[in-house]
Amino acid sequence: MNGNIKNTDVVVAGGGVIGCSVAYYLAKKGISVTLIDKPKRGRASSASAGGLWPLGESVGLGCGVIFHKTLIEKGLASNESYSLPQLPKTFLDFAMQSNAMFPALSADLRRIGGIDFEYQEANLLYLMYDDGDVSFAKTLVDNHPEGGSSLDWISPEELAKAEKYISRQIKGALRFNGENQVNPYALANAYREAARSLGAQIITHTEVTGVQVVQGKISGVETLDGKISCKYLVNAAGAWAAQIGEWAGVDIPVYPVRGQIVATETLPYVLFSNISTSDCYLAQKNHGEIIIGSTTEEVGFDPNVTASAIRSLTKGAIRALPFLENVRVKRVWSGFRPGTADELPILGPVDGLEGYINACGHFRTGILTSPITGLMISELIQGDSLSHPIDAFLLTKDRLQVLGKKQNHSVV
Amino acid sequence: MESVINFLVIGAGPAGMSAAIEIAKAGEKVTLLEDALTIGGPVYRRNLKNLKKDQNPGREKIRANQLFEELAKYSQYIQVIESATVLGIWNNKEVLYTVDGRSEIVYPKQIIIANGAFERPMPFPGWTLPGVVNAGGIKTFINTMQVRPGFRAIVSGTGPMLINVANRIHETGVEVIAVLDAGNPEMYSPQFLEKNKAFAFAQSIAEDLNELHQNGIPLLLNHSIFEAQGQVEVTGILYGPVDPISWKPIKEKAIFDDADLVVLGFGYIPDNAFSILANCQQVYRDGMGWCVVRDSFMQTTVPGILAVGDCADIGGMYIAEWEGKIAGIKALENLGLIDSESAAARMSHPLEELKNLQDYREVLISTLSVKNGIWDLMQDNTLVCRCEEVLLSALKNAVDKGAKDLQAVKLYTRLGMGPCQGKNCSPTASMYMCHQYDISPTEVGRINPRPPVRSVTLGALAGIANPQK
Repeated sequence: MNGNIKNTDVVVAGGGVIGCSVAYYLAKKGISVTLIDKPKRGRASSASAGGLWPLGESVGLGCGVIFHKTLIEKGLASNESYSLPQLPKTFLDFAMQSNAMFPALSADLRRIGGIDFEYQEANLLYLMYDDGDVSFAKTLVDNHPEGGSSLDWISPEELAKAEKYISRQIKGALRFNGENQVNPYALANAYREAARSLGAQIITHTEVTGVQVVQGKISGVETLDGKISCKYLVNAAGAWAAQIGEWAGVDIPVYPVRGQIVATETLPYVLFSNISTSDCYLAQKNHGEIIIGSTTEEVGFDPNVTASAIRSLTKGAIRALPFLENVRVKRVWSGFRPGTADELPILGPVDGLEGYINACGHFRTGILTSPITGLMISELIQGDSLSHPIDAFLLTKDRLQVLGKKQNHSVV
Repeated sequence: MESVINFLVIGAGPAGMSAAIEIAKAGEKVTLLEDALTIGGPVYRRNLKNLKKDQNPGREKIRANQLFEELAKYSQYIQVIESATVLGIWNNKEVLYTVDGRSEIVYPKQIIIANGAFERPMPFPGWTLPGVVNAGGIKTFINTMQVRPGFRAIVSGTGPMLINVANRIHETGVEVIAVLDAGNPEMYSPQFLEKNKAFAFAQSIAEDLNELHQNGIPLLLNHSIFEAQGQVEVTGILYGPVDPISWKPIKEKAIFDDADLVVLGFGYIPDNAFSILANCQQVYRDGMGWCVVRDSFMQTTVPGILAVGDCADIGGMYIAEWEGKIAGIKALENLGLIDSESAAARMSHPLEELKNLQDYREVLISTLSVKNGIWDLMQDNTLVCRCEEVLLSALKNAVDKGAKDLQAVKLYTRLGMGPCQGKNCSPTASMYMCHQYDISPTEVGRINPRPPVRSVTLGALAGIANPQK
């Protein structure tokens, strides 16, 4: 295969949703780019429920609130501590800007690459089962960065009218409007095929095995199929970013955070909103399956699923949608979120290594922030002004110190 | 059931039953889980109606009854649980299973996996039409439903099981057009049968061939089904000769005939999902697929997990029984419940018998190995993945786009993402990719099974009793 791989300006290491997005935006600018990926078991792009929940995620819904409940159950957090770590406003802006790119992106990728990533407008419902949930929701509304304009307080009666199948054993729901969803691996495929159509070289049967640095500059990468020269290396290797970093001589403090996920059999459309509860989150996909997630576990790269997670996710799902009791599970699998201790992505260049660019550490919001990430990386390389400030996401010496000292949140 | 137990046997076919009986003979308790409604496995399975005594019991029925009697004799030690489906097994020997809509987890100290093999799917145009059935399925159908499965049938595949199934369906009144064997098995030759006439397997084959002849059913060597035709069910077939070496269909010589039943028997693939879940090392057998790595005592690479019978490596029922015995004895020894001398003494006869059957196993495996020309039966619009409706053309497209292993193909096409977890598609996809694109089996890899290996309700999973955190 050696002779067939052309040399290139940019190598993107990693073909999940971030790598594919970067390749797309680079190819769109006419920059010569090669994407190198060997789809690995446990890649986050295939284990995501595909929710685009910028507001919800920024206040800790989705995985955060489930994780918090698990911590309480383990005695690692108190019941009163309903102030979940909120992501900084700069991240919310970043996420909202990315969110707004999706409608146009959907049309573009379909036109250029022929793949539809099933973008669906929806909303996110936080279900309140008990008084604890209600007071938590009140805190969210009071502290909401956007003010209350995109949040609605829904009574059980209103909810029953809008969503026939959600449990009646609730005190109400908090609705985040405009929280949409996509098919996550169709999104990665869509970026990739559009990139290919625009001239990107896509290599998906080999992987990077080393990085060549000459006098403080990236000069190429080694792969299982031979060397490729390049001027820029974008590290989009997700949970595996630390390894790429190591080969380049850069310390990348990204670590795998496993999430287990359950998919039901194909069902007729019964759920129109996405749901977040303290037990699990649920989303019905275009295909008809209902996706139920998730766990937050630090178990290294162990891709297995556990009986206890299967139990708690299915139990939580039945609590939210009682009819699921008699619905079949089609599969259970897991993926590794690329975790960072401050829960912010790692983007942009690093001091002392010219040509190396980070596009990693996207933790729980990679799907959502893939468009803005791809765009910004392409702007960096092209030398265009950035669509969004990058400072909060750079891996500076200070930030590296903070990230390196992370606590172990292992709750298995 | 208590959650920590000494011995668990998964699967109550000949291998599993033999293992359980050996353990019980030492006065030790063992739990035997069986997925089907009733024990026995596909060959020995008790007729559900199970009432009348056979006038002329066949060889299989005689042996089956012997095994059932022994099980009954040791019933105080052997706990048989039918309709129990194992959903998952972990590297630490945690086993999740479901029965009666409930799920339970059990922690056995020794696990003997004996869940058998599944029939090789063989895609060709029309293979998903009603009326196309696997040989094992048709036998179960006849045994349990006691109904004639069709009017006019063709039997196609390879190996002695075809002869047997043709006779069975003939008995019910089906007109069998012919038995088409893609190969020319050594096992049918008078020399082979004479040389091995002391063995039960050879006697069986000789009897079956004789019966086939008496029934007036032609046996066409180096022939295969090409197509099943019909709008909503099989109404006609195309069949014809294949190249003797490669098995490539010689489509110019296709023959048409009316038929409403196509019975397929293209060999078996070890159902090694449980051993894979438990991280037991596998090894690839050309022409067959992935088998479990075992030592001479049936132990896998994971301590405390043994695998016997067709789930580990194809060998048929006689081999299965001896392997089961060996595993049962080894498991007892592993827990110190019998000493090494007793274990060696008890194992010596089964090991000897197994050794005598080694040649037979090699011939059997060679007979059942698929030759790669057979993939030419498929056309671009032939379904490869039935669950997710993925055509051969989509598979080819994925490879063209750079997918060089099953994991990548899965992500591009959804092949293997359905409820069967790749059982009906990955054997074909894997062999096709190896052959067509000259990629090694290890590179092509597998579709990895995940718990639950069988589709169960959320309710059953939500109620899992005693999972370890």
